[in-house]
Amino acid sequence: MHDLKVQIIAQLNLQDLTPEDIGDDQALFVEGLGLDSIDALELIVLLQQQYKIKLSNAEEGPKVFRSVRTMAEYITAHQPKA
Amino acid sequence: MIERSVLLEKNKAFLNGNLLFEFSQPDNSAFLTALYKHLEINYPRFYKMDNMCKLGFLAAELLLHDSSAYTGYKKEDVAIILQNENSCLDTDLRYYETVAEIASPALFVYTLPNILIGELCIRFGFKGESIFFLNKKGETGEMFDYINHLLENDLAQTCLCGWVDYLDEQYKAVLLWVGKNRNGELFTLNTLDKLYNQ
Repeated sequence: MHDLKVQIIAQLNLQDLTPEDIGDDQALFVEGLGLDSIDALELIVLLQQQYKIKLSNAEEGPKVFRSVRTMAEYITAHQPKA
Repeated sequence: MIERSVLLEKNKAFLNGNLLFEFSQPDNSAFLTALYKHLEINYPRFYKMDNMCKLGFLAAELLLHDSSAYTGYKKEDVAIILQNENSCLDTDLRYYETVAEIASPALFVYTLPNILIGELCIRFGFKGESIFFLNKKGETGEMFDYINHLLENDLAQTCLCGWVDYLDEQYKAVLLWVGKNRNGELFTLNTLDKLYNQ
């Protein structure tokens, strides 16, 4: 999950943060890291670029992007096998 | 009257003609981050901005840092009138590079020059008239006339205005706070040209 946090920081230009500042279960949006709708789109791009995963159902978004842990679980479950 | 002015150019920052900050390294792109840290601003959104918005944002921060400049003005009476010659081409080109693979949403939102005006409105809460002119360098008349029109017709009581241009690590920002009731240098076309070419 550390690597995923590094990728999120780079993708979203969160230059004031380090991976240690982001809790595994911390909310990414609103009351947590305070990400916005453009950040949500960037997280979708991150999944596609880094893990070749396309989020096919937009309604899954809030569940997938709830925290770093939920993102990591989604990646593990959906990453194409090499 | 021009109550305050800011110049950001060649890794230097001036307020009312006085040098406030100088960045000694030759790296132009690092100047903006260095100035942001020097001013000790806590505004994480800064890092998400494109270069032109960072430039304009920092110029406005310097101009309005103690907030006394706009104390007494209603936020609805503060206009923002800006101009440059390269629009947001710096970001347009970077965005275009991403299109070949996956278009970047974060870059896309900065592919309009007046996004800078939006960033300033978010930061300072200004709600008055706004416009972003695209003019060649030295063509100040259009912006000058528009500002006078707003002030003379009570469409605004004061204006945050000036030049903010960034392309390929070459940049210049000249921001002015122009009002009609306070002391300062007379706002004329000559004064404007002089400040732009200082």
